Amino acid sequence: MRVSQRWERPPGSHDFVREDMAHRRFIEAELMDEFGRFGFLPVETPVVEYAATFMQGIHQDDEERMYRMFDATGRTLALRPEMTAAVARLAATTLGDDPLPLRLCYWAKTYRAEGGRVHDRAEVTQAGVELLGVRGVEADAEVIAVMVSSLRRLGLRAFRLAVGHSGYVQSMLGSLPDALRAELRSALIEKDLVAYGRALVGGRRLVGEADLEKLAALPHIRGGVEAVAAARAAALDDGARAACDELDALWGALREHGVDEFVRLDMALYLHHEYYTGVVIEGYADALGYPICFGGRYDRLLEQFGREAPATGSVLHIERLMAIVEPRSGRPNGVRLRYAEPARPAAYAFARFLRERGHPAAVDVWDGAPGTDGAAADVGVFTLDADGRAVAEEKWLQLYEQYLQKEGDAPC
Amino acid sequence: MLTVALTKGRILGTTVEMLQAAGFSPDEDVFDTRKYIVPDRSGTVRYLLAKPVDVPTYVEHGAADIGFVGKDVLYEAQADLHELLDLGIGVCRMVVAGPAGVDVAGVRRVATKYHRYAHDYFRKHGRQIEVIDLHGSVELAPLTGLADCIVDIVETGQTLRENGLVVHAELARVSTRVVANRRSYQLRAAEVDDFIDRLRNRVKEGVR
Repeated sequence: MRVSQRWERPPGSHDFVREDMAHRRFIEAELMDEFGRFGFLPVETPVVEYAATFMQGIHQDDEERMYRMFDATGRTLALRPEMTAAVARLAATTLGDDPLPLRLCYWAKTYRAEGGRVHDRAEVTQAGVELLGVRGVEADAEVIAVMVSSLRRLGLRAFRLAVGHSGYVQSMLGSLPDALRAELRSALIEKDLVAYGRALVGGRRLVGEADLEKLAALPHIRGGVEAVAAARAAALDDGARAACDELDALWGALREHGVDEFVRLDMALYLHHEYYTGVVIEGYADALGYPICFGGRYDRLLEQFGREAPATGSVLHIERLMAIVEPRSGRPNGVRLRYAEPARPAAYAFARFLRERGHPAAVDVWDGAPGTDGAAADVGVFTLDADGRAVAEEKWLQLYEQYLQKEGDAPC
Repeated sequence: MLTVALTKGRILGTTVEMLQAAGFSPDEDVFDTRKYIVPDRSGTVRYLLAKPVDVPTYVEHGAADIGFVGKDVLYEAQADLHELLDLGIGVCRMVVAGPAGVDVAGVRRVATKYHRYAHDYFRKHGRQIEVIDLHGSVELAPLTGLADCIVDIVETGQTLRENGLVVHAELARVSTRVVANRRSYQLRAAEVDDFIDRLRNRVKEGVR
């Protein structure tokens, strides 16, 4: 493959062709169908919207990484960096009069100026669900169940969803002095437990010994449902205890959905979108080093768009899934139909016959040269020569027989 | 089986001693500079020997579950991974150094390979600097007028003194950290926790 420098793609963007495209289509069809089975309705929003729409609760790094432009009147537009804000906007405006709960799903490309690392793509396809209007953890459990069910349907088995609670973390850090809180918070976002521990040591004089121990325990609390008890033991206030009640209830619902074995608690999980208010989710598959799934509860995002409603949702990162989902083989049943000039009427008629039966057929004139003329390896080649002789694999010759019979039966 | 990325060079001996104290037994081949993958006799771990700057990359992509790497490298790499433990070995200082008379508040050009440390430090002091990218003998830069000062890692300060440079500010204390891949931290939690706990106990007991 030759790529002249002039026609390279922008870094972080990708072309999809042939089997990759088939793989994408397969994943899209399976996921959108699975979302539909849970009652989620597909929606599409503009790729470009006013930048202000996307700035509701977005993390500062991501804000700096938005692709922006101006419209004719000078308003700032942006390529969508993610879908949650756009769907919240949609639910509050276009669907503002629709009764809640709303179950919406999407398959959409999103854009962020790439950070320069290999797996930082500028263009990311996200498939996700948003469940709007339900305050209880049943909704969070449903979203998790949709994710588990979708990943299983794609053939993945060795995967886990890590679940945390941003309300718990906010409560735990809530009563601390601003500077210390900011330090601990950024250490959790950076997943830097050394900095976290060091900040606590530095804040020793500001925090009582007992509280210090509980705060020190926080990032190490992870595991199955038993970890909720550990989180409760470490809770500093009623807010944190309420979060534990929610997590207990969540686990109950996950068990009833039959998906609890795929879920692990991680109290240090603290996704950096400012809009998360409750349960947060991050998914991993054994075959890939980085997360494939992100989500959580965002009860205060919709009110930014003028409709007060709780909400929760989650997305899958499609390009990462493509790397680990086994492509479904089964050779596409298409054919490259080439004909010597005199056989054109028969070639066109046979191609119609094939298409009506669902077999893709590409038709080209043939100059009699040997070889397969550059047809892709997984496409059959059917040759009609100048004498009307057919040369092809048995499967296509049988179809040609059927076609000839049908032609013979047809009244002239 | 966990794959653990170790750093070749200066710090390897101390790291191996630490692993042994924690009950692991890396094969002696670990010191053979031509071998890149070395087993542990316990069979629960294998080691991957990489250049320090590459360790965050192996771990971030999940080619290694765990990595041992200096905070200086880690801070510059900004890799997306879990930083779990400070081993307290390989301790150095990241400093701003230059000729004795230099006014750090007036610095414009800084020679370093540590771009992030340099920009962060001077930004915090309200200065936007120009970084001259050098990878060795950084001390030459202020002596030849290429830069006003340098940002570099120092252990004893001997090289600085011999070149007539003094430390103007200490940016950070760096030491060897243990990091984990995000997937491994979640899906191989039991193994990762066990590995980290064994090392943590050694660190607490001060075994070096």
